[in-house]
Amino acid sequence: MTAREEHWFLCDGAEWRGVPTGATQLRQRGPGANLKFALEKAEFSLGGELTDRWRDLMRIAGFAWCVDRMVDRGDGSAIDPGEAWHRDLRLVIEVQEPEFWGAPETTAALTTMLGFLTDDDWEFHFTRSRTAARADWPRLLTEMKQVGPPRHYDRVLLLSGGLDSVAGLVEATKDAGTNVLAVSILSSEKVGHLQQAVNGLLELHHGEPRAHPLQVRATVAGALNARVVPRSRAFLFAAIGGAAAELVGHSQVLLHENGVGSINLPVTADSIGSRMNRPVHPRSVRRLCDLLSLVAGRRFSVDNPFRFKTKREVVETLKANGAATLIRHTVSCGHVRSARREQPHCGTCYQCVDRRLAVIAAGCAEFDPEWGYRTKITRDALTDDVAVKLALGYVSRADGFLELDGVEDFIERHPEARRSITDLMAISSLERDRVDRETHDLHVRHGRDVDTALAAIYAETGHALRRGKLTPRVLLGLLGPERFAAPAAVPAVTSAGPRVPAGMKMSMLRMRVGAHAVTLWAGGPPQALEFEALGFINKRTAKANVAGQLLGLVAVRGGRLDLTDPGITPELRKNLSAYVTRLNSTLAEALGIEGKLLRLGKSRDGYEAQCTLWSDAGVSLPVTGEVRWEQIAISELADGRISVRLPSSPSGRRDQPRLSVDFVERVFSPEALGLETGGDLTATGRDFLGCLRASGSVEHGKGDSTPYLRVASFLTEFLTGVGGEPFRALSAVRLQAFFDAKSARGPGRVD
Amino acid sequence: MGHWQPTKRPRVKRWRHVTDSLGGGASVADVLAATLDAIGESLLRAGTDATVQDVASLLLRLPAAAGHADFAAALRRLGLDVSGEPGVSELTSAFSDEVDRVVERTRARSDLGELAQMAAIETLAATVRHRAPGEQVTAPAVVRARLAACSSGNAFAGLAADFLGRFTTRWLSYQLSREVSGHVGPDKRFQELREERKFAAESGLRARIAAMVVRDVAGEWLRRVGNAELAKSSDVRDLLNRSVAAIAIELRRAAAS
Repeated sequence: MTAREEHWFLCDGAEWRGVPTGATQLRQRGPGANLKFALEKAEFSLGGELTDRWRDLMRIAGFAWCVDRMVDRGDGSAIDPGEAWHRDLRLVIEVQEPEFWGAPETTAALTTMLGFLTDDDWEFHFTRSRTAARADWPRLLTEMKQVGPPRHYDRVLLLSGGLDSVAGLVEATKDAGTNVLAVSILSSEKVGHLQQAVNGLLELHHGEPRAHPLQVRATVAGALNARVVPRSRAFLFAAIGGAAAELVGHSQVLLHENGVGSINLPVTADSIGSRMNRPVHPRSVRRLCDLLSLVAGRRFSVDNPFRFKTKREVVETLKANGAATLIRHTVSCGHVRSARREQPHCGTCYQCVDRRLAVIAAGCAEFDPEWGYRTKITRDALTDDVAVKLALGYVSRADGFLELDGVEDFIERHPEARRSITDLMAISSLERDRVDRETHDLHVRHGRDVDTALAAIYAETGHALRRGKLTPRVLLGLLGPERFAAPAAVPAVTSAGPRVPAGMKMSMLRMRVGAHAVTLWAGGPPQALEFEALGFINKRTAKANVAGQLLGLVAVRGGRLDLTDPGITPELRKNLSAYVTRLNSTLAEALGIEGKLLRLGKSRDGYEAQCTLWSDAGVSLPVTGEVRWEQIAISELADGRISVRLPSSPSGRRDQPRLSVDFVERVFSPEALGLETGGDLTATGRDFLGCLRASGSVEHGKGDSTPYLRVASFLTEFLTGVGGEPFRALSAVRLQAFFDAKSARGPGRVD
Repeated sequence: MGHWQPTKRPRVKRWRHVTDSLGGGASVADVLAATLDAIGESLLRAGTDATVQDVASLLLRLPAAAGHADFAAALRRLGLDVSGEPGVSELTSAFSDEVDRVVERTRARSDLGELAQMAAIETLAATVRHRAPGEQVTAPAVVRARLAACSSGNAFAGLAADFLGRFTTRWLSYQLSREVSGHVGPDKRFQELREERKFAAESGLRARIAAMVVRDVAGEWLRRVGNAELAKSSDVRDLLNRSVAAIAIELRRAAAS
């Protein structure tokens, strides 16, 4: 193996006698300036003054960040791409305290931290600064004018503007009277306005300013390498955050990244080492703690409260805090440079795929408008090989987590995770067994989240895919139809989570009501995805933001909304009315049922069940009587088929009508379903109810009844989902198989 | 923050054969042979890679350490930071952490080294795992006993073959992942993910089968050095060189037959 080339940099005229000829001069000022690096903040008052060590730290972090962006890593096409990926970087920097920085303990803390972050070999040589102790660089924080008395801050956190960090900010500011200093690095104007929007919206949400932004501009220009994605940004971020914390008297900086993203196991066989970024990896966090502690001269911690949460759980944190409307104001995309203001997400990078699936799994798709993604993972073709590689790798990894057989199997199959265990123990003060179990469970839950999201996407688009209305190069097409043909097995999580009731198979029920997607885990508590009724409003009214406005209001009002609410604008009210009108006019459109097999009309042949079909949003977002979603009637026609119609005058009932078992039995009769072959489907229908009850996914009412929505949803899946041909296309065998997959009981048994 | 950086197709003429054989529906064995023809030199470099040598050396010394009266102390002498007699988790974590420390010390970061490190942890976990019915984890005593059983004869050779089989599997996956995604989709070799996975599984299986040849190499090597604990770095280099060369020959032979 040939020795790697050493890249030497002399920063701002620093000199050191061991430097080989040909070293690169990095100059920010004066003749020969080739680098423009600035850390600026126009106006903010933190008070206090930083020590030389903190100023040195920011200077070192700034130059490290620049050098990281300058030295090429190759384009990845060498026979052994690793030879160019791993770099030997040597920096000579002037500092105020060379004795401190040159001490073995400090140097080791600095180089091992950077080495892990970047997978490079770093070497620093420090010389005494020739300028006064209060040199003009970096200007960060020290130039800030005192505009008022220093504020007391309860916490200091780093705000990237991504979904996780915003969720962390919301969590940190949930208590009234809290003051949080939110430190951001502004390296792109494209995300700067969104970071500001988040703070503004949060203030609106709380009714008082609790998050106080410190937005630091960090720009670099010069001999940069455009294809290098720097890995050392976390160091710069932590240095600035640490300095800010020091100024306000804190010894802790919070950062927020979900546990799966922080450990960041490889998604493909070639994404090894730091090709999977490690900014919030437990080892990075621990080493940043060690370095900041040395600089501060006391224990200084960097903490990630989301270390054992999946991204879906992080999204749910936002939802639980009534701040899901902030999701659309966060940017997760890894391709910031190519971002457009109106479409900040590329849709195909790791971060975009991770975010979109997590938001869907959390039932918050309405809060993350799909038009914000240039490629929509749910319905657009993946034309680029890299996008295909990432998407399939991401799903494969998640599937692998679902196949795990306990902690030791996780160790064997994902040896990269070993790197995080010792560090997680150190930073969380948990015992090894607990860390192992938490880490394993975290990844299993992530696997489930991805599966849930894919099932929901399938419920939404599977019909179109099967009918050739979507290109087979969409993600679901590449995953293959078999994945969705049989319910996915869902293993129980060892420590917590749903347990499968005795006698029931582990399986997933997938339901579809037109564009309304509902996913239920038969093996445990229902994990209902948000009913996308409000998404309907968008489509019907062509107003892209109406649903978001409405859901935002519902969230702000604590989950309840009245049409008389002052927050409902006349336009929104008008749109809602238009929606109801349109819904009432065309049932086929409302339910997304294509074709002519369902008839509308006023036929009252046979028996009839009046009901109100509340959206699932009605379950989680109860609304008062003025807002009526769909009111439908299901009736059996004279020719033996089912008709669904909307009554001309809504009943206005607020409770969910319940459906008698007798009705279900009749609905599931072969005659009603128009089956050509016989079979005791009445019993199967009964079994279906038992299955739903055992799963805990329905409420028990008086007698043998179940909320109508569930049955209606289920019916609609039959009508539209199975094979795409409703009614007569259903064979008894397929129907039986469908039910068998959901319950281990024999037909005809109802608890 | 989970940024991901993929590699690209190798820019060598011979890689065209890999592209063509994959796209043309060639057998897995033929694709693997084409890969070796194109960039097999990368695999053969494993023997001279400092980190691969360090990883192999550390792994192959563990069975002998398990034979010492004080297993924990023997592990600490090898650099593994264990608190007492370790279970699967502590042993594999300590192993991984020690390799990382060695790499930081030797400054010999390499992709081959990373692949070897992960293959070694896999091997270690697979070797010592043996949960008793009803138990969540393998007892430390079982870990030690299973490791100690690998210190001589066929078991040692099996450990070496397992490691190099897993290493070769990882190397092949690493290299082929630069190509395979271009062959997934309608009208392509792999219509869907399931087919790609099947290909990857067969590829891994073939690598593991080919690595069986290492049993002979490692058995002869152990007889020569006498004790893996006493093996010099040149011995380890020799073992690696001969093993990966033998595996490459086996993989090509499978294609030819």
